[in-house]
Amino acid sequence: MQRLTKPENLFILVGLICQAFTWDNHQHYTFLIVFFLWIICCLLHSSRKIISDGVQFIIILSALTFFYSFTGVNIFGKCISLGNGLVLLQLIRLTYQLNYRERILSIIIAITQIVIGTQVILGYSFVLVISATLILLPKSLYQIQIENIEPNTKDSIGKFEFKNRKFEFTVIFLFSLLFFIIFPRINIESNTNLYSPFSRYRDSLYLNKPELNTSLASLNENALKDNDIVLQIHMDGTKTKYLEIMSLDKYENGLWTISASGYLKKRNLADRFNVEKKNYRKIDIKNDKFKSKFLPVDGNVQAIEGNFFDNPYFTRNGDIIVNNNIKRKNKSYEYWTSYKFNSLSSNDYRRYTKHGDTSQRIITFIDSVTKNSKTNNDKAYAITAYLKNNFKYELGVPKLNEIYPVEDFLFNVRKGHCERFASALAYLLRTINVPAKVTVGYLVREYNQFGEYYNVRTQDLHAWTEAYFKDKGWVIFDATPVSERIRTNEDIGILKKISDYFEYIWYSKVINLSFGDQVNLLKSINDIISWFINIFAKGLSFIYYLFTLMIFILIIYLFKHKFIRKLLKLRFINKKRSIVYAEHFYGDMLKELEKQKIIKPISATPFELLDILKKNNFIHYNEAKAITIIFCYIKYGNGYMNEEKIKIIQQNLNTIKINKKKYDNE
Amino acid sequence: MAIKVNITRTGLCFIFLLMLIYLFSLMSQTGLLYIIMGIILGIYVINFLVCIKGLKSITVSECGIVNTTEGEITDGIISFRNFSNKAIGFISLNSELGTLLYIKNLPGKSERHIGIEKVFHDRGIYHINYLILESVYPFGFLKIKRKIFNNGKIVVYPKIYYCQAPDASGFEPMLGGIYKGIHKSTFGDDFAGVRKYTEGDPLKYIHWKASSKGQGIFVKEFNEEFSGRLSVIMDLRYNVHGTGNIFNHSVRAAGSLAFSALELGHHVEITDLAGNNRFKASPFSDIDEMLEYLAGIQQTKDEFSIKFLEKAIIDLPNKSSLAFIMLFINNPFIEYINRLNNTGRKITLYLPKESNYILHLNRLSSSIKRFYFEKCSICSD
Repeated sequence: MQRLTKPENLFILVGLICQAFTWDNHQHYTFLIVFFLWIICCLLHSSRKIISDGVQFIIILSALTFFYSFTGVNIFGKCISLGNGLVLLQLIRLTYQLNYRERILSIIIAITQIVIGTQVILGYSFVLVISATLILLPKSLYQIQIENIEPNTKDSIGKFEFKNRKFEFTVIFLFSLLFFIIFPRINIESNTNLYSPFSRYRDSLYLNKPELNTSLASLNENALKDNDIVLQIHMDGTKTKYLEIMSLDKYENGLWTISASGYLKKRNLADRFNVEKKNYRKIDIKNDKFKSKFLPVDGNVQAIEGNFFDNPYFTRNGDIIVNNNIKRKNKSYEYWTSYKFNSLSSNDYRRYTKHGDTSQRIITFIDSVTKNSKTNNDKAYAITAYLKNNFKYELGVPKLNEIYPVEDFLFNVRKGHCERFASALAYLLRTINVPAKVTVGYLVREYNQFGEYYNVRTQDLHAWTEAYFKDKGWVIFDATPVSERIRTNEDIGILKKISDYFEYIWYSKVINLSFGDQVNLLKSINDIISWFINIFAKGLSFIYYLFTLMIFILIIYLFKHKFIRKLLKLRFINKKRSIVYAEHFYGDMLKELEKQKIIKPISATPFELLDILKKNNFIHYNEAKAITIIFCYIKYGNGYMNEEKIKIIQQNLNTIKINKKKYDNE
Repeated sequence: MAIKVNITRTGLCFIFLLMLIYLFSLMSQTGLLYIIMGIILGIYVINFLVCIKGLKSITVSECGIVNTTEGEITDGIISFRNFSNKAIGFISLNSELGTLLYIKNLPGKSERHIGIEKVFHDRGIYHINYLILESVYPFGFLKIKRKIFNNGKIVVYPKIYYCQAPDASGFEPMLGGIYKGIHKSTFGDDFAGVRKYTEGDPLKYIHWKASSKGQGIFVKEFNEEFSGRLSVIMDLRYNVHGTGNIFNHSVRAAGSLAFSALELGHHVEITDLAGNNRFKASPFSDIDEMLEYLAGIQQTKDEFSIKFLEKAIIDLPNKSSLAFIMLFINNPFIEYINRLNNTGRKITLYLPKESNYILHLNRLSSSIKRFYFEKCSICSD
């Protein structure tokens, strides 16, 4: 049991668990395997080596060679692989008594494994790893030092426990925090694959395929169950509810797809400094699975910048396509939009109104719905309102008729998910010669007022229709009926928002604390100091005095014992030491009296002795009285010895001694 | 209070590790590595602060004059007092002579008196001009040194052993001398009997008990006590043949012979061939002074000739016997001591056992006794 609770072994276990995280942090059996192997090796511990040095060396060399050669495609991968090889070494070393150097090496390996683990442990579990490191690393190093001096020690020097080493642990913690905050971040961007072939990331799921078709086909309910945060948006300017990924402009045989010309570049995006800045958005991509070439944006994008792509361009469909979507963490981009819109060319007009043959039944349906509307704009709103109010939102509805899907949807099924409504509306608008397209994107609903950002989750995927009007440009029409499934901002509890905010802080300000953040932090500190200086300069006396008083109280609180004593030079000696001092001086006085042949009777109290001195007309009765009074005051009263009293006693004692010398001379 | 900070090997290993982690962090997308680096650096900081504070709060008593014997533990005690509330450990007290002692733990507000653990194997007087308090407490990353000036020395006496004392000569009456003469004396320790009172005898010599028997007045008689004189002449010449070890053997031999002679109640005088160093010891006197003299004796590269030796012998008492403890000998020396021996001087010659002076020794007078000394013994042929 002692082996299992040894700080050094526990620290090695932390290292092993961190290494196990690189194998698969979703499957807990890997931790269990590591944990049980660790227990077995600890229990097998003996004073002699179970495996000889030579065999050990061969095993370790083979393991390292294997992991180095056949796993990991880059420096990170190699590091992880080497860490895996070192797992074997750590486990073997648990089985026998190590010398000082070997033990230090084990600690270094454990730290290395923790470092490797940090590449995949990004959640709150890292707090546990850091806490374990903070507690176990100093304890382990201390234990190794003790046992290096005294191999079979049994706590003769004491353990490095938090209860008696609060100062040390606090300093280490604060220093690590300070170092974390102020040490300048330098990051070399690398287009490397962080993960090995054994990694859990090898099968990435493309949620948003560029070739995505939307049709009036059925959508499985499970498809929208994933509740991960995909994007986090900071918005300045006009807020938007719809974030567009791609527009589907081609309708053919019941399917909506992107036409070839839809991919074509319409214009390059301008430099950020040369655009009319109306609306600004900053979007952090929070999910590694997001790998689309289409960037979610809203409005008429004028300029865009990001840390994971090259050559973004604006397509004829109004989407943003990027090249070289680099696989990296902390992807983010920002863009600026304007309210201006471009008029459609005649070719585009034809493209967006092309819809094939329309049945008489549909024409009758449109006429009946739009009988009170005069303009195309009104008609579009009327059709949207009709679909929204008279149809039902439902997932998992059976497939529509493949030949006449719109008719089947409008007249028979009359229910479905967002894509059906968007597709049907776009089709209907085109039949009345309104340019329309189906747009796929995210519905932005979840606002976090603590962090002032919007969260977009996987289940916020949505489809809607955009129609073009000469006087308004592209206008969004969302015909999807209101559903219980679709959350509103109010549905999200305050606790959930707070936890989201903490998660946001953790990822953006802890894990991804950037050099810019550090500079901002230092600027903030500088601002606070400047603020104080300004206050003092302006002579705002109240705040000045309050601040000074607080500082003074703090100083008193911190140095109430030592500092004030030194300052006032009173140096109160504590009670126990005071009594020792008093007894010492009184004893000196009694010795002097003895030399002068005045012996204190055993039963006599100090004041009875004074009476005896008085009766004998002792010359320095007053000096003896002064010493006796101080002695009694300290020993029997609640008095304390201080420098002043010591001075008085010594003066009186010296007087008595001088008297004695005179007496001897005479 | 001079403080010096050094990084230990363990500390260097961890600095190397920190550098690797830093390189790793340059390419890593997570800033969490900086926390781990911060913890390791925090350990350095604690190591520094605790060690500095601990060492500053320790007072060390001065290492004064400490006496010891070759190969034995010293009787020197050094006091340590920790004035702070915090414990400090892993302290070693060093000097120019090396590590003197080690303290595993010195609790807060405590005092410890610790003996010097260092064992000195060679006699000598070792000056300690400074003491260095060293500690790696508590993590062994940094070694903090605090220099303390000291005025002390460790006197390592040569290890003396039992041996037969050289023959002494020039016996003179001395109270307590173990050699008895044929005459009787009125004073002494060895009571021989009584004799009739003669005129002029001091009254204090009257043996009252015998006189009270009515047969006259008797005075006490004691056996006459003699003690001899011995001069030990050491060879301090520095020569390739007389290496440091053999010289130390010769010093031990000189000490042992002088001690044995003093035990027999002789006057002993120790000098060298040139007569430059001279030490006199009375019978039954405290031998510490003599041992201290021998501890401090050094080899010399000064030139030597028989003339110097003659001068040195003249300065010695005429009647004293001579014990030469030589590192090496030559013909002029043999001839000289033969001449001395012929004049009636009692001479004993001591040579290193490893020496090979058969040709020279063949010319040595047969009446001169010769012995061989080793590290810790003296033997005859």
